[in-house]
Amino acid sequence: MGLINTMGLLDQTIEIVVFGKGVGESILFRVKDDKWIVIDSFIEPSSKLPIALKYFRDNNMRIDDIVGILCTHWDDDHIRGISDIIKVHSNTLPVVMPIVLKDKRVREYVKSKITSNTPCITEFMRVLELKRQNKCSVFRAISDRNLYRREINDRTVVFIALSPNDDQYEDFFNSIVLSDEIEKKRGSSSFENSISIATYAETNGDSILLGGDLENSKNGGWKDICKNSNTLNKCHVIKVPHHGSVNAYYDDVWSLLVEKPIAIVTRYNNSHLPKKEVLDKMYNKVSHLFIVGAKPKKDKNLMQIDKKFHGEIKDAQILESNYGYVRLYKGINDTFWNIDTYGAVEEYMKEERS
Amino acid sequence: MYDETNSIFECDIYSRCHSLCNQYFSNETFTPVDNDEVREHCLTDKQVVNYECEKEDITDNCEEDDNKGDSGFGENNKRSIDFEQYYKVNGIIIDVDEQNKEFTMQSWDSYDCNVKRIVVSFKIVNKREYSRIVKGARVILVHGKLCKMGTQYNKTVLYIRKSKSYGKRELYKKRKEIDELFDGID
Repeated sequence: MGLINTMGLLDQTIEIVVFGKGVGESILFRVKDDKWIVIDSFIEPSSKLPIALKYFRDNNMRIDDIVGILCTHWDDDHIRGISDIIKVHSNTLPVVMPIVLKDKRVREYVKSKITSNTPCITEFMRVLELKRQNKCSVFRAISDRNLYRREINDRTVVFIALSPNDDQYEDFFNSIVLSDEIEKKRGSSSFENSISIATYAETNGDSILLGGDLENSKNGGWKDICKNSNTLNKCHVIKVPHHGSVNAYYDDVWSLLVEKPIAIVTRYNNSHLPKKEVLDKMYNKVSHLFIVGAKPKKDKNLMQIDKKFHGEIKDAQILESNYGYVRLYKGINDTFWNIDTYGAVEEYMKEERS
Repeated sequence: MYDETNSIFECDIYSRCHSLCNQYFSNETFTPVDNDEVREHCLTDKQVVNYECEKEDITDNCEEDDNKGDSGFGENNKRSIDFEQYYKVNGIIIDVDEQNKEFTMQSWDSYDCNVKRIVVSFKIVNKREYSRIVKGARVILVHGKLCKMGTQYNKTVLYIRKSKSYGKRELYKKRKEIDELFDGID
């Protein structure tokens, strides 16, 4: 990863970097001149570092310039390395989650999930241990809660949680079975996507919508956000929710966006996301549609091997582990957004659809 | 290193004795996963299987095993089974399609390792074995040529690791840890 252009950072009003790995998502949002919020995390394969730390290291940025961490939800592809970031930081980092730690139902839910050694629960316990050591403080995000707000010179930086709301939170715990029965539900999201944190970020009028993995649900989701978004500016950039799944697509979300925004979606190869039908719906409504993270490729070699063994393999794909990122930034005097890409990033183009 | 406490039981379409995997998937080639720390350690030691590389000719072992009367097959320990040439993939089952009797397997090192990873859909023939196939089960898929009493035939064998569930005592301990962590929260 080469050095980013760090010259003139003070002149830039808003910056965001979206990382994807095929299975893994992380975002960096710059909140002031050299301060950042980390949103979700995955481990970069070659360095074994959380991708945010690798980016900071490669660009000679200070780890202590991270002012907070947002865990949108506790799925494996969004939380790996969170505890590593907290450990190396010099200060007590605020960590925002969609749950209330003192809620006994959260404790029981975590205990029920511990029947097998899932990475998300292991990571969650590491964060709790770090909280016990005062290495981090944990806050709950709920819709319309300010996560960060600063007036800096003549600029205003705002970072607001749009979800989950109280009903979603209660519905989540009412719907799960807190018993051994939950073992039969293995494979479902750890902390469900319905309480994933979506956020709105704004710096001096330029705004970004980060969708997390928020899916549609009867008591919340995007329907609720669209209904209560009167005070928000229309966003110029959207991080597409839930890797471009059908469940997270909601037509009215376009009312939250300017005409022809920039859209970024991260892959989730395990479920073959993003879905082409979602990409096609978005294509004509955006100025750019970036897909971040390497996509699976057909493995011809393995299929040839299989021919020798009576065709028992039906399908074989190689999942590349390469990651990529899209960096968007807009200076105070810029009319347009600047776009940098690195690694496994493709722009969804019209020709590819035919 | 091969961990005897996490012994593998096989589940394949022809039903095989699992002593085969004890013999051929020990130490150097098989990397059992007990927890994240062990897995990370193994990855660092480059013990991860790359599906393109695991091709061995171990014909010599056939004769040796006959002499030792080792490597039983079923109840008849005098027969010896050997892979003459095989390709091997370590993986984890990520999806089970009950209707079509298929499952999708992905190389388990997909999150942390910078090697190519594979998703394979595999048709299960034996209904009895199918019940052992659950999402999250760790598997080894082997394509190989076997020699059995001098006769060669092709086989595709799937080995499924015992589910990595905690035992009762360990589960109690883990839940107690969680209680302590939550109790320590202000």
